[in-house]
Amino acid sequence: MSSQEKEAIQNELQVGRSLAARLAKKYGTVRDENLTKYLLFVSRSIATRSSRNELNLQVGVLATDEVNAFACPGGYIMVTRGLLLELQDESELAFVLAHEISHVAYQHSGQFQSGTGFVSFVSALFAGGGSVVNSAVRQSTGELEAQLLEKGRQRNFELDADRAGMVLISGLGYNPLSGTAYLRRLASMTGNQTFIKTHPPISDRITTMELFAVEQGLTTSQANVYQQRYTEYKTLLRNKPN
Amino acid sequence: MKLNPIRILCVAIMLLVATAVGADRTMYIQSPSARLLNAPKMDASGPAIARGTAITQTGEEGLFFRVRTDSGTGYVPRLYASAFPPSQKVNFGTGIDKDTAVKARARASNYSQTVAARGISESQTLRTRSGLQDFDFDSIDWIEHVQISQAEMSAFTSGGIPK
Repeated sequence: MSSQEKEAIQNELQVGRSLAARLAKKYGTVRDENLTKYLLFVSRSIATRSSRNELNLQVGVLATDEVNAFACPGGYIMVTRGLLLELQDESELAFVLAHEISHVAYQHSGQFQSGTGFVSFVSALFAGGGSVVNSAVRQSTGELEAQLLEKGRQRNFELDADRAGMVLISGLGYNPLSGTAYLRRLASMTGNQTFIKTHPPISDRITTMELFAVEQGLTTSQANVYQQRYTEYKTLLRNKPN
Repeated sequence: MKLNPIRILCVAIMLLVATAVGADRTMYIQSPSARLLNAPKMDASGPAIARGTAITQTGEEGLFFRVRTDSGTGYVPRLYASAFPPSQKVNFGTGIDKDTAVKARARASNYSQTVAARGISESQTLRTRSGLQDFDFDSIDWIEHVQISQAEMSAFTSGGIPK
């Protein structure tokens, strides 16, 4: 990997980290080491099979009952407590994480370049793990935050991430259509305005995924859902005080 | 017909750019379940390709790359290939080459001296100017400090959760 390529990745990490920090400030976070480790197990087993294997994926839990998940550049994935309590099994969790990982893999937040110079490296050198947000990072973070919470990504990006997520999880033995079950339940819920306005219609997504599974021969037989172990962690989260 | 040299030059440049854009590139297989598919479909058949194998991407079809390998041509899912070999990880604040880091430290030192001369602490200045009250980096630091070992990951993928 060339130094220019590493620098471009550092720029991506800086923006992604700042966006994740912005979401953490907005919603608060759930700090439970066992739960976070479990999310890392599932997400990294997916990510190690993906094209952005040079990133060390991080997963955080946002302390909100909204049902949603966010992919920040550089592999910072933020899922909400509401989402984790809504999911029924590990296969559904794997789909959601794989969908977000696919956004990172396909660089749907844009491609980052090297050559932003001085302040990028200064921020990495100060104590506190780079808690510096220069104006360029702040602007990028603001634009991406608006995309995540208000405008949404391009429709084809969301559908691509659904299909890519199915490919990733089927390779691990999960049910490739587990996302459709989760989306069907989401369609009948209220109070998820952020999710609704930032994603294509749920019916379109389900149709696209079902067609893709048939076209690609993605089988659901002998798929694992690991319901029991997911339920253990869901109970842990449900019992955790706010 | 008289040939316009400027038009010829423009066409030549366009051809060069088109060639560069369409140039083959080396990629590396990331997924342990990758196969060299004989069609751009997940259920197509084909031999397994080992993780870390270098392949040449010659085109794209939807979610698949057209590729060339030592054992022939075919397709792999775009998600299964990367421009980098599997082992190289880049974490935030690392992976910067020595010369760049030295120059950055020299600049940081100059900045610190300037700030100190004005009687303001570095972190105070940066926090005030950058509006850090809008960000929760403490939580991100906490997230990044949660680690899992390779042994724990192996236990997980074989169906158990490490205690």
